Amino acid sequence: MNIIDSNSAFGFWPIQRFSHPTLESLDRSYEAQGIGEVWLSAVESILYPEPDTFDQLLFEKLRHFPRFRAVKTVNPLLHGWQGRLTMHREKAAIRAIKVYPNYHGYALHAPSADALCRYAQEHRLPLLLQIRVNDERNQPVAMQVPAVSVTEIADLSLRFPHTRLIALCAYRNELPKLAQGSPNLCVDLSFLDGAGMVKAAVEVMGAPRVVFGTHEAFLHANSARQKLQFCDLPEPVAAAIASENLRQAIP
Amino acid sequence: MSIIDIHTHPAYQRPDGSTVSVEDSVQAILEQMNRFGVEKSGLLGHTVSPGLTGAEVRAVNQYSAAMVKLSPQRLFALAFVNPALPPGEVCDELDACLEGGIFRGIKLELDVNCREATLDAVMEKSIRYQVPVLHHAWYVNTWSLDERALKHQQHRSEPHDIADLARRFPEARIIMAHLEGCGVRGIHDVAACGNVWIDTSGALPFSGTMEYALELLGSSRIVFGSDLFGRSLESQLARVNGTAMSDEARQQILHLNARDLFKL
Repeated sequence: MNIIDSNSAFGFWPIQRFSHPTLESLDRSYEAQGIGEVWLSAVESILYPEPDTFDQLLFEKLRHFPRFRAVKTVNPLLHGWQGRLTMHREKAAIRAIKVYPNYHGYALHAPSADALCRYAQEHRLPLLLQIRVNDERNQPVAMQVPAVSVTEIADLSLRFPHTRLIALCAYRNELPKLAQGSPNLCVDLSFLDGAGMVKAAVEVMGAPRVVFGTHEAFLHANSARQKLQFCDLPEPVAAAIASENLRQAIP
Repeated sequence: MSIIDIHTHPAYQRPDGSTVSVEDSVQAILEQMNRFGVEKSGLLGHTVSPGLTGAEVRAVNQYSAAMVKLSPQRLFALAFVNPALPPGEVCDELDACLEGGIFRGIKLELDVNCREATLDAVMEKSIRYQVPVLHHAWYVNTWSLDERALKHQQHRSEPHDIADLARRFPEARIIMAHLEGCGVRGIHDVAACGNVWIDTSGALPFSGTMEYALELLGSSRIVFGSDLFGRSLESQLARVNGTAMSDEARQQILHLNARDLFKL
């Protein structure tokens, strides 16, 4: 089965130790798990004041790893982000755009979010919307970041029904609200947990709106891989979650 | 490798609120165990919220016991008690549970902070019956909780409380639940308490915490738990299998430590 990981990151995060210190090690891990394509962003771009510096450093290294596809982090509050993103797209094959509204400080009903959706739609790039990167219950005192509102995500998707939005790291109790969004709003598997959860997600969202995602390096990728392996869904549905739904999201 | 999972809760209630029969609960857990190579599972009872009455506590333990009787080779139980109830009632429940072979440990939840003297009688029973106490613990961010969850958590125990309990009862064997919820600080809290183990259950399998526990405590003080059915074996086994360690260490965590602690 072809598997695409829509939710992966590599780099340094000051409050967590990651399992894979090098891209070589990460690549070997994905190879062992049979995951053929990985949409990879730079972890440092979440906190660094602008995302281009660390993105560029990562993208240069990715040339040696055909498994990894560059994901550009964007902060739409930074003046001129569209021009810089276009420049990056000319230099590297950008697979998707990733945004962190709760870390970068904007609401999804703000004009900057609309501009993101317009850009993504115009250039046929999936917009990966990170709801959270860790468990709110365990965040350190100095970095307490609430999750992005799933109501706002659903509303955004209805305002831009032709933009392919993927909400990353949704909890199961957030699925009903996300299901009310446009048919182009998907969720990944990474934060869905509990026995039979993939099947339950398909029941709530519909099979075309569930995609494979691990949230590596924050989570062990094997978690999502095993959820897919034991999802008890018909093979065509499992294949759609594994890669086909994502294939349809990219040019 | 055969696995022992010391931290499971039965699939007691369906999404529509109806109760799952004991037979169906056993079938559900055995399906999961067979799929992932789990040889034995410890049942902690279907405890959802704190403040259960004596009758409710008995019903929890009776349900667990009935499950074990249907599959005694694969299941064992821990006796759940609410130490906020009158001490006589708590002790009677523990005696009733621990005198048979079905219950091999004691489970404590969110009812009483474990620094309270009301826990003394429970700990003395654990020493007398030579069974471990599995105690819920978490450094939870209270800002992230809604009003109902905050109320549930008001008497919670944090890892430093568990360390205090361990120092008060050095003869007792205590398993501090929820490695990820306890975090690096929690690992430090209990590192000097040789009578405390940590179970791996709870939260998603974030990288790094297990590695830290291995370095500070060693593999002999970490025990596998899944928190099934609230969590999945897929995610919880990933925490152990995704962490770099020797085969010997993995075997200790997934099997040997639990076997020794619960005399399985």
